[in-house]
Amino acid sequence: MLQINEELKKLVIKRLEVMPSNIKVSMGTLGTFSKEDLIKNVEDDTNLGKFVVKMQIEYLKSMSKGL
Amino acid sequence: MSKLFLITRPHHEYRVAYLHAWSKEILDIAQEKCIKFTDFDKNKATKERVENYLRKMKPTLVIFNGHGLENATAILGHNDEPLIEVGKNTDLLKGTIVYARACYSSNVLGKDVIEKGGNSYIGYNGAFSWLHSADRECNPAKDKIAEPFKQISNEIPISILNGHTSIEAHERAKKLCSKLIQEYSSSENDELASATRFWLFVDMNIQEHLGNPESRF
Amino acid sequence: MIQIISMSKEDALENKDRFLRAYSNVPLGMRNEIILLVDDKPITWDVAFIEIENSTGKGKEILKKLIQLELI
Repeated sequence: MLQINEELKKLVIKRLEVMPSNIKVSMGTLGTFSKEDLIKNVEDDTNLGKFVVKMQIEYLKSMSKGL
Repeated sequence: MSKLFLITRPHHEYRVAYLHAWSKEILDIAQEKCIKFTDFDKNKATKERVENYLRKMKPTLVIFNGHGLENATAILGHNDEPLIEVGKNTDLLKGTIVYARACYSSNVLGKDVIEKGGNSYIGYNGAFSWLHSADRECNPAKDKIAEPFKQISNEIPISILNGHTSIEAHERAKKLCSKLIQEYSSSENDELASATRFWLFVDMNIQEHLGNPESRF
Repeated sequence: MIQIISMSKEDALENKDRFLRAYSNVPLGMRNEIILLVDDKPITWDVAFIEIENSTGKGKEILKKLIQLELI
């Protein structure tokens, strides 16, 4: 299970890397984040990072079901 | 209850400035439909004003724009002053339909509002997110990148003002989000489409409806 | 022994079917999205399709990972 989590993190980071650099994500109260900020949060296992990983995996699963 | 609505629109920093700008569409539609409203704009979005108004006017609908505390116990107004807080004044929303364009609030505050007699509550159980241009922060009204996020969140109060029940408004917003995700999934899209799809998906999944589904403005 | 090999072939076909059903549901604009890493290299839906459709060794690895990650 630990291995899968690390693999998932690496996958999510690779997916975040292709985000354009000229945009940011405002997440209300939490702040505004560039792709580099999001990647750092995923790497550091912050609450935000865990949320992003969780949502990315749910999104990937939804993709294969035709959303 | 009085058939009118209250909207709070703080503007003290650039993120709430987006919500402030987006809300103009809601007010324009209300004006077209001759629906009465009170706009606590910018530094008018204070706790004292909101409490006094709720006590006196008992509006059918309240639209909160602003930050929400991460512990989900409050929605904030001008200079991040808590406007509505668990255990303090949620009873003032008795009988009201609430739309909270604020992070986290449905987790705790929303439930408390319903427990204290709120009619229905539509909000988010996570961080409401949107994409924007890295250099358009000073002009949210013109930021096209943020446009789909404005559309999906405005759909809720606009549907309510158009006579839909609160559950219909909630579902219409989710359906619109799904439709936009599909549009951004076609073969003719730019490099921004992938990020837009994902963050629309996040907002669709964290949107929550509580309380009476048949409540109507 | 033969039975085991047959079951593996059936499993392989079933997994391939699962992937193809999922892939055919993915909108065109999404098919260049990264869905997996193999040897730390990004794999998109389209790349996965090529490998799996041609029953390559990499294709089998991709299928196994997709199932393990519950993506199909």
